Amino acid sequence: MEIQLNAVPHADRPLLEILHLKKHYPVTRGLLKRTVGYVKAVDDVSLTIYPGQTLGLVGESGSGKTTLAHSVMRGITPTAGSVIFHDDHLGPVDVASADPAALRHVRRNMQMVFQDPFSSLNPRMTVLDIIAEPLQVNQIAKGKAAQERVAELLQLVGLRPEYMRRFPHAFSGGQRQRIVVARALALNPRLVLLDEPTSALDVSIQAQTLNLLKDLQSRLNLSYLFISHDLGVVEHVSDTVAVMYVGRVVEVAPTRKLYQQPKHPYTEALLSSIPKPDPTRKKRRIAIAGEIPNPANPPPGCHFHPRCPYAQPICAHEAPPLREVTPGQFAACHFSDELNLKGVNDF
Amino acid sequence: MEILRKTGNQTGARIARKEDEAKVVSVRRLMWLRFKRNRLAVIGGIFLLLMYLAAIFAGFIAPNDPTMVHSQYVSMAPHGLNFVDTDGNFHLIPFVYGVKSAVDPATFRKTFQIIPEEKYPLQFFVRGSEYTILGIFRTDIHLFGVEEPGKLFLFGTDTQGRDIFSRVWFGAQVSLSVGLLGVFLTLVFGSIIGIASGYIGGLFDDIIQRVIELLMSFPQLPLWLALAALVPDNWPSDRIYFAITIVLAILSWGALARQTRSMVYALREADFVTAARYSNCSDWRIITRHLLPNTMSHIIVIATTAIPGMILGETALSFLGLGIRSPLISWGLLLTDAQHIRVLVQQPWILTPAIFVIATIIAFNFLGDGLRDAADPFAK
Amino acid sequence: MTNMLLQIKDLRTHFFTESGVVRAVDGVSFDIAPGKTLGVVGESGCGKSVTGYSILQLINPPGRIVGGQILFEREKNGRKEVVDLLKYGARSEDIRQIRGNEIAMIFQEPMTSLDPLFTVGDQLAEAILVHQKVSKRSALDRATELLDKVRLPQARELLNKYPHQLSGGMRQRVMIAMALSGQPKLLIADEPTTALDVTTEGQILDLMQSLQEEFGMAMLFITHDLGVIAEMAEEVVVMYLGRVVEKTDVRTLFDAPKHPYTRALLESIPKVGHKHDGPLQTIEGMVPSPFNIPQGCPFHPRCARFMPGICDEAVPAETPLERSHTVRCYLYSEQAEGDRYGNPA
Repeated sequence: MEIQLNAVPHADRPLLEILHLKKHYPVTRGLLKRTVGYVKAVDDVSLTIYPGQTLGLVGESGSGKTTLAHSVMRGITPTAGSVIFHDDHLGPVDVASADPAALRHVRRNMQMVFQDPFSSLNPRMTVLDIIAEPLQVNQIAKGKAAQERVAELLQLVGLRPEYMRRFPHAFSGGQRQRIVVARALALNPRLVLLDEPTSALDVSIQAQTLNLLKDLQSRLNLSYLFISHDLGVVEHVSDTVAVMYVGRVVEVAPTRKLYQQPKHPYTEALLSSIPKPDPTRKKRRIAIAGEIPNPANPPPGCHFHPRCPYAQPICAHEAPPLREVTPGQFAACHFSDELNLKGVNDF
Repeated sequence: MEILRKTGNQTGARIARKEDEAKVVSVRRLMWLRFKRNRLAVIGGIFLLLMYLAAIFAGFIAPNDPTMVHSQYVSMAPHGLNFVDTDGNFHLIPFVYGVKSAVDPATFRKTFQIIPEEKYPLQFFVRGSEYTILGIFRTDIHLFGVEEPGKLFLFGTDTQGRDIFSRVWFGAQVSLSVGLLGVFLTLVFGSIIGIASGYIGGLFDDIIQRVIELLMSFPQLPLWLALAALVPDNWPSDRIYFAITIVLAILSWGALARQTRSMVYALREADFVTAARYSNCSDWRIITRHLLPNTMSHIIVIATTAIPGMILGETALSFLGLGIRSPLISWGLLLTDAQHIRVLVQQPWILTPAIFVIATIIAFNFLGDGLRDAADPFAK
Repeated sequence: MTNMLLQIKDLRTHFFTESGVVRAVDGVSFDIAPGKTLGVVGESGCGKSVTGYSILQLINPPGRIVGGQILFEREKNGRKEVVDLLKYGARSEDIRQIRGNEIAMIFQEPMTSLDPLFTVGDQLAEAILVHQKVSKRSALDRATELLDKVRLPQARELLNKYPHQLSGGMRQRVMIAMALSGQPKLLIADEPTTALDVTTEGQILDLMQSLQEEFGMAMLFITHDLGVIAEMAEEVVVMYLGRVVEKTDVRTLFDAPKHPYTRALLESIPKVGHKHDGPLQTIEGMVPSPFNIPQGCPFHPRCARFMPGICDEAVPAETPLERSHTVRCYLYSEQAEGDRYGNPA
């Protein structure tokens, strides 16, 4: 029973495969901009997203989750690795090295929703212009047809079509985020990258937005890459969750497994740190010491070892590879097999 | 419970609809509302509007031909309109006295005396010298004047016997338009280079920034003087006029380009621009639909605040004899007479054009303040 | 009821803006017992932060405290006395004495309250010197001690660092150290962990709890995060649009919430560790504009249990249920509040 619930339907062909993706930013110094090192914002990340599924991506600041999303869209050109999008017409396309025509085509099928609903909408354009822009630019619809499609999209995200003549400043944060979602859906994408889509919203509005996203997913068979620092939200929306720490993926697993039987000490530390809305629970936290390291100068070996309560000498000089610990569950820890880590309900 | 819930939503919807009506306001309208809140800016704006109108209709407002030399009345002090005559009688329509000149036997200086018997009442829509408005309409009707041989010199005459009042309005044509035209050039240059620099970035941006720094570290007046001195003397006056405008614009586009660049630089990273890029918008579309509309209001504000500098620049150049030359008239040129301390002491009225310069500059500054507030209608 | 450290009675703080009056805090009352933690929870615009700022009279124009009492028990010359903080002027010597000394405050973004031009040591020593007549040297020693207390390693070295050289978590620790410098009786914490990462948040919350025990101070913990409330608070006040809608101990709040808003709020957060596939419970609509607060119970347009003709008429009175549990809702009492702002009683 447990295994069935957790199993990801692997029978399906993946929609997006991120393979050994790296984004290294040179650190320059002095007048001549000599390169003195690299910030490995994303360091050899591989992830897979299946059609109609949600991959949750959690991590703290500096973990590289946002850089990863923009690399997938190729707003940032990756240093190495590939992002394979399985297109219905073109077949597999490597976004990281696609020519302009292919990139244009793939971007119609991948769209992004941003964290800040206030900077995501051009204040000088009406809602109609904002949502119709992708339609016009990609020569899908214009004039009356575009207007009808915008009305349809607004209804889809739960806003009144009459709102289309208004400017963004007339809307609340939650409504703006719906407009952003409508714009992202204008081109009928297969995949939507959601970068902290509810972090700027109030609790009551967050629930509305999450419900909307889930509803849209099942209606339109969308795939999501859902980035958030909020573990509760990620658990609610995701089929699979990946945990990043200083540019690397430390654990990927089906949601329930990751939350109930984590296989990486950092995942355990995260789960123990969440303030849980339940005053009866004894507050037993894994005392995780120290700070998130500076990505420009991370510790050698396993990046987590200086803060890890289970660290051994080997952790300081050898970076553990991401390997399958239990079926479908991958972790990058030398001792995943030996450790008996606590799940979220054990604290 | 279901019923209750329904009613509840209806109330909510009713409230929402009420708010709706207030919400369909464009950013432009918000800006106007915000601008209106700044009283001084509104006053400055109205004053400038009147000044520009007066400059356009200079020929109509000026009672005399500005180039006409009245050799009988050289360096005459203003003699104003009177309501009460020397006998203490009140006249409903103001009048001016006739004036005769004489030489003071002791000092050998020319003096003017009124002739109490000669009264010339002020008349409206009188015929006088011919002039054109905007170079199109030719007419000889003036707003006001007095009948010949009476003379109306409201601000007195200059050292050659020309009517300063009339010359101020014709001078306004040049001085005020130099500011606008110069700023227009600045705006075009500055915003194109600024947007390109901010959007393209990299080496191009670096080079542009260094060029601007170089330009801005030049001492302004000497450079103006040097450039203005290059304008050949024998050019026709309209060509000189454009040359001077370009000289003024050359030094001011840098500041505008810089500010535009920093705005574009910040906006380039805004999520809505990223979203546009991810929806396959071209660079041209991103610039024209997203960057320009969001920077234009700020650019116009910066440009407005540059106008006073232009006007002052023209005034300074003309004052030093390197700007606008005769037969064109400008405020700076009118002040050239005031270079001699003797003239200043004996005929202080030739400084009257300076009052117009000062008032215009202040009005522009007020207007600029108001526009700055309005440019960002969402700021608290 | 006896021996309360702080009693807020009918506090009203309004903002007189050009677009109208915002009643940010409109008749808020609650008490804090010595050494206990009171959590204030609510969404943005509910007035929770303004309440915190009002206690120390840190309200800037166009805001003004227009009514109420803030009774604070202070020790003066070895005698306990109860003073109304609102009787002191915002710039008076008395309130300055209380700020930092007896009541301290920490904020969401420590960078705004730390001066980027001075070292951590300078600013800590300064905070100590304001309240205690000691030499600069012993102030620095005391500063080191405080940094040790907030578990910052290598305190001596840290004294010479500038705020921007520290991480967000370290800055918040420095802020806490600064707040502790006067050994306050009450610490007001305004969303102190909202800007922090999860693991850092956990560390700071642990730290605050152990320091509270050690120093025996009371805390007013303002947050929008119900998880944080569950961990930190003993008593909880739920605010909505400038009013307290429910007030109770933390267990009752989570086990048996009474106000429809509190219930909806609790149901709308995804509970970590309890994944289900259904939709989350939501609260309809959005928080109304503060300029346009609905008549009657301010929550009625969004309320699932709205009773027409009752809820949209007058503000419900604060109804005591059991023990210290009170709620403002017509489901529990028909009594309306006699409101001096013209709402019918």
